Amino acid sequence: MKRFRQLVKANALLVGILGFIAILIGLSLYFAQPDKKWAWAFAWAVGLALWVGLLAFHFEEVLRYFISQRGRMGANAVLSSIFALGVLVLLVYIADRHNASLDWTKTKRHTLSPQTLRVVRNINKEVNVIAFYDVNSQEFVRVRDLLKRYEAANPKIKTRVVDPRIEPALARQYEVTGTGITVFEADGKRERVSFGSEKEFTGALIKVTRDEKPTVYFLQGHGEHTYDSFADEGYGMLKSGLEQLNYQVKELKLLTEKTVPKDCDVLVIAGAQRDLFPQEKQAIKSYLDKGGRLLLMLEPAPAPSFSDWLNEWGLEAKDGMVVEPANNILGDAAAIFAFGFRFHDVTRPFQKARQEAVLFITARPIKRKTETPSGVVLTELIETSASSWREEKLFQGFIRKDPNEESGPFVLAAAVEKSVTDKKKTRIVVLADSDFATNRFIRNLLNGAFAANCIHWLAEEDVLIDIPPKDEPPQTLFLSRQQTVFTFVWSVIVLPLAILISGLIVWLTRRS
Amino acid sequence: MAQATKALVAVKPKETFARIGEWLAVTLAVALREVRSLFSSWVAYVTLAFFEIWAGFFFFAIARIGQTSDMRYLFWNVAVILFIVLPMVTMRLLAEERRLGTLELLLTSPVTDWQVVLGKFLGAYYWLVIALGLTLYVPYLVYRFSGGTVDLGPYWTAYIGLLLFGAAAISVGVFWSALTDNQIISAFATFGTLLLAYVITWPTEGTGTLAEICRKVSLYYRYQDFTAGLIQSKDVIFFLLLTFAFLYLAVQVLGSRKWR
Repeated sequence: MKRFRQLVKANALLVGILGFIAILIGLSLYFAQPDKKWAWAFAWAVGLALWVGLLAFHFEEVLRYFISQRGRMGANAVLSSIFALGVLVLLVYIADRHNASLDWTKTKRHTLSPQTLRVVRNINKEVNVIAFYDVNSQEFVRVRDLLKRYEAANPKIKTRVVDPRIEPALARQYEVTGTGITVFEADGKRERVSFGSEKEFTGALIKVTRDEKPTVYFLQGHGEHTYDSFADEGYGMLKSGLEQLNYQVKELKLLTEKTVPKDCDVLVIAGAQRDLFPQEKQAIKSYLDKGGRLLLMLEPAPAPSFSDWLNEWGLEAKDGMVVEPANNILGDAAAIFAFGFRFHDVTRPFQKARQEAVLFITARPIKRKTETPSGVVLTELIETSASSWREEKLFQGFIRKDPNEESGPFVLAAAVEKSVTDKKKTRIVVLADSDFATNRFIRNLLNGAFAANCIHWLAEEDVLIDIPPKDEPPQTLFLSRQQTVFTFVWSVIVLPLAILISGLIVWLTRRS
Repeated sequence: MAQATKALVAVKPKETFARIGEWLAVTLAVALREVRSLFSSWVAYVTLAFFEIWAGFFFFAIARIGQTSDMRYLFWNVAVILFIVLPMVTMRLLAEERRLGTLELLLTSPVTDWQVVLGKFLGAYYWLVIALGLTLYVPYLVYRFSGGTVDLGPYWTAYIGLLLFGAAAISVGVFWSALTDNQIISAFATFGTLLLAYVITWPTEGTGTLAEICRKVSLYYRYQDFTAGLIQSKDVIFFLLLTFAFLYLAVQVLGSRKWR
């Protein structure tokens, strides 16, 4: 024991360093493998034991030092330093919690829109956001910066940008192949955004954090497509697709219910074959006047034309059927490939997919009236080509354009908006066909996505729509040959050389 | 404390200002002396030239090869160059005085420890201002080359960030040079500390305690927002407090001669 004591005393410095290293190892183990408690606890125990032993064996010296004048001053300095640093850490902590930002970019790139802030600040559950981007791309930085703003606005949102090639396990866990995907996760709900910006991110946040499910009602009882049937003419696949997208789908029988239910977020009339009763029409009308949402899919005559409603929205339904001599399927002129999406929130996801189309089967001719009623914002989403026409006798032999049959373009899809109050808007999507979304056709081309998107737009809160994209100024810089040479010569040769020469001059003048 | 307040109130404001002015004048005199000695040796010029070559090369590479006016990568690299160069500037501050034996002279003169430390700090800061000032051709050239379309906001915030970041880095250098009379050790310790501050930036991507802590303490992580055109009060306060902390420690170290 005595020898051991001497050994420790003689190698005080070594013991102290060893103790310090043991504590450091413990600390790194604690962070690297927090679940292996015994490992870091052991390292800490060893470190502490070494230090305590050191103190114990040197107890007299330590005590003497602290009693002496020097010792007291030293202890005072050390303690006051520790205290001052503690205060500084506290101040940093406080500053971190009460942050104010100054965004010094032209486009206010780092400032979230008020709509987003309203959404984000109201979130009171943990949200995990993982974005998968190529670490070397500009997008990586952009998305990371953007996600940081969300995190700063509400610390419950935890964000992270990773490269799927560097963390393939994580990518697999989130079923991500490739880059440019951002996954939002809360309460076990997941929402994926492909590329996108603030608007899409905020939309995804709303979807994963919203507790109540938006409800879609399908009107039944007038020969509409059966909403839950999986027969060819049924809408069962659309229904289950919507349910996967977090919607609740119900049927509506207005004759028994009298009014449109309060929880109705979107009402769908999918190809009614018989006219609605006046009471039913009145119920839907008053629902719409209070800011209701309607997806109205028409069918060619003799199905009802809903012309009284269409009139109010600036549209006009005609008899007959649209035929498209060019863009049709296998010579069936009534099966129309609908290309050319107009720019609108409903069609936004399809803007890039120029080669794809929606396949409409037997579409009712709809024309935009020359005058749109005031207060109504009408946007055509898809139109037929100018060579199309309204055919009245499709099933009576040859099709050819008769003089009384007007020519296209016809409206195949249109979005209508009408303000009720400042915040509330009535929204309607009118489609010239209802067959495209049946089980038989919904898997063709963009049909399913288009139908879903119409419902999204109708059901979505306004916050999703009103965030304008920020126009970033172009950041490309093209140097001419002359500029290249100048830049290199000036920044790498002339300037540093000038500094060195002035140093030489100073040195020379000082020497002389 | 009450006494101090009373004393302050009792003193006429004019006198108080005069005293503060005097205090600052002495501090500035120390700073000026430092600047003069720094710029009459080769160190200032070689470090400046080294800094400008690298900054210039990165600028050239990003503008020419990257073909972008987004100079974030330039400013990140400038910060990295700074932690290589700054230790060479700060290594001599107090260590040199100590080696030459002039530190005692300075400390026994009616100059307080805070004035010495702050003066030394400002002396080295002058170097930083010159070094950054010489890179101002970058926003000018980008502005010219882009035909005036570039958004210069992020450039100015990056410079503000560099001034704050540099202040913290220099205060680390002042601290280490107060602790040792060997310039090489002073430089390496400063470099090591700043390197550690850099390395700590790596685990900031991610969730968990470690990433959280690293994000709080990493100088580079906090600096990155400045280069994107965003100034946040929390980061400004962090840099200022960090600067103050190391200067305070340096003052404590100087004061330790009384009890060591």
